Amino acid sequence: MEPEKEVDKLLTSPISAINIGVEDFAENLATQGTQVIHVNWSPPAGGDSEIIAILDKIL
Amino acid sequence: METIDIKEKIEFANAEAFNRIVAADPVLVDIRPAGEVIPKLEDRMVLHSGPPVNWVHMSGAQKGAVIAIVIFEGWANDIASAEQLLASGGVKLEPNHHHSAVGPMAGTISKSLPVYVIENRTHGNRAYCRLVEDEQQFGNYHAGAIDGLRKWRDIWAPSIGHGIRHLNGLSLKPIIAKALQMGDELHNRPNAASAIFTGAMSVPMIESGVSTQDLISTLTYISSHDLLFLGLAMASAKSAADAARNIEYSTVVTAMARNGYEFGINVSGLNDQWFTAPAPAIDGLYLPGYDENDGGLDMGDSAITETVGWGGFAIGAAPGILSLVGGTPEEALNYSLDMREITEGLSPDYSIPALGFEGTAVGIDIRKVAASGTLPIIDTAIAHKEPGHSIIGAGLVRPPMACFHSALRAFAAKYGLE
Repeated sequence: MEPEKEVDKLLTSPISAINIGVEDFAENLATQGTQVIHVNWSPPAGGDSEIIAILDKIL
Repeated sequence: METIDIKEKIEFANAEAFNRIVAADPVLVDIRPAGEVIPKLEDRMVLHSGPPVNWVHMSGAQKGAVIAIVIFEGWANDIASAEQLLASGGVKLEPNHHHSAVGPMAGTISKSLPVYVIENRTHGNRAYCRLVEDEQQFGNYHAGAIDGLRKWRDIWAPSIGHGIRHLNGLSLKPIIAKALQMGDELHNRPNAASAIFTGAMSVPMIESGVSTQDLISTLTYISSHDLLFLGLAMASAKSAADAARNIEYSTVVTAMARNGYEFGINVSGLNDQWFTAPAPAIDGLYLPGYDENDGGLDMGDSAITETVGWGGFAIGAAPGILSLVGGTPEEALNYSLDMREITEGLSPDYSIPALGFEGTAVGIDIRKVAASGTLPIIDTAIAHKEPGHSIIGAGLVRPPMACFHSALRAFAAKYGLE
């Protein structure tokens, strides 16, 4: 299939979304009637690079 | 290959810590004045909940409870002179956890106050917890609250003690396991365990020759005391958690404790060092006449129950507690399930009926807490922020992540990972 047609299909067909992280985005999509599954996720160790480096060595 | 080596050492050490916690066999052997059984408890010394704290930084409720103890011991005659004595450094303050002891809320223990003596028959160590009531331990220093301590000292504890010694000790593991099947989580809801314990002690107290007057007074009190068993649960938990201390390379938490000023944790492989952060506020429900503006910050050694897999970790077993702390049965089950993500394993003996009788989650691993962002869940009572009040509410709280990050940094430094 041509790339342009793929884009057309994306824009014209119903959207099904997987939302990762901030739940507000999933709630907004759901409010507009969009099918959405939310995945709870946050950066490891809250994004603390020192703790991530330690965890890489011991976990 | 150093990285692989240390991971293996940690896994081995954590398995050992888990095994020691779940293998604990707590037996109640006595209830005695603390000065007779806690070896390093000095004359003018008050033990308190949480990590170390001085009089200046001590929370309002804990100050109130310490003042009450000073009057109870006769070191001062009134509130003002007790405060003066404490401000001048005339009474030594040390954490319960430094003395193999724990105490609910302010946690105060002094030489004349009765403590339960628990012997962990698997490992041979002893642990102590003070009696539980709902006034002085929350910071109430008024005459009625102190009179309650005197009744414990003079009537109730001696009567129960006669019965315990007549029995040659009471094994608590079967009571704890049964109570979890009866809707308890053994922290803020030990109702079933309290009733079982009262039943178990009644005949031995009669057989041991307790006077009729003291027997009636004691049975009247303990048969309507829903939180009676909390002191026994806490001492049992302490005896189990202490057995898991000082295992090299272990990242398992051996204590979570709060003093209304700071939250602190101990970690097995990091000796007895405290890792602290400011105590959090509690998300809870308040008794009529009080609201969140009155609430003090998180306080008490009672999170030792969560440390071994009870309390908030077993809240899925205790939907009845939700009327006290808030939330839905579904949320309670999810709390218990979430705790599996941050722990070493499931208890082989203590189970949750609503989760298919699978065990409670045991052995909090600081690595898993930091990596997942999931913090231990604790259900707890709420004290007033000022001295002089009894219980004002209850709710749910989680430790600050900073405690776990500090512990991980210390672990990296101790074991050469930097």
